[in-house]
Amino acid sequence: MRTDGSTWLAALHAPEGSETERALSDMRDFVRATLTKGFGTQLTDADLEDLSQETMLKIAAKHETFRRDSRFSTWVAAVAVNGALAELRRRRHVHVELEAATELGAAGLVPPEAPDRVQRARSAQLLREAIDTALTTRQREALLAELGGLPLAEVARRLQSDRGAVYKLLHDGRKRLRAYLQAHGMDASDLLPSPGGHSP
Amino acid sequence: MTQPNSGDLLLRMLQLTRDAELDCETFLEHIAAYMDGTVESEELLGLMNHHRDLCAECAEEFAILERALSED
Repeated sequence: MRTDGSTWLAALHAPEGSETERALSDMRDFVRATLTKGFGTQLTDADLEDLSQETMLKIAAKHETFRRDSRFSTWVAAVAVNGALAELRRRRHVHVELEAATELGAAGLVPPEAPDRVQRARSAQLLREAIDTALTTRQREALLAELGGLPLAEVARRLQSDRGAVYKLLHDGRKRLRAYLQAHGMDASDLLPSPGGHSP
Repeated sequence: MTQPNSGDLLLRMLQLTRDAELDCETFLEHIAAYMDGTVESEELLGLMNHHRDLCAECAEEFAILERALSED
């Protein structure tokens, strides 16, 4: 059974000593094991070393924000996974420019080989009109980049914003698009392809 | 990057769009309690479930955490 990490939390508040060092060493081993199991071969030994170290520093800096509504070990694992995933996403997309991602997102609005082409062409047309008409320039840019596969944190980095602000921007944009469709007597369910792939 | 089917993805996101949603930062603030099944507020739990359905990135993060902490 997994530890709840309470000894690690106590050690973070304790003075230096062999007990404290042992607890923090256990926590570091747990962080490394968490990353190994969570990410498998996506992380090299050097990555594991660096990310474990970064996680320990983050935990030292922000353990006071632990809400005590979960096991401390789960919170530690969440900090580790969050940091590693952010780094992997950054690396995967480091050479992707915002404009390339938005072009990819816009191009994907017309699936060229769909079996129910008429319905999909109609859907794509209305969506494009909605995106062009109902969204602000910044919302359009962020939405198309997201649809083009750029993670929100990476969209935010390119817009010199943060993930939370970009989520709010996109949430407002989705509400505008939904209202636009409703004003045209449609909702998203009407435009999604039928499960059998045939036009209504 | 491969070309995704943006239209279907966007329509599914619009289907799930609500007036009140959690943002990613709030979801991640509570992800440990969500993982442990100790979210006490039913309202927050509903918002967490909804965000996980809507946000592919947070769903991926939760799935990795779940795998990392699995007992097998």
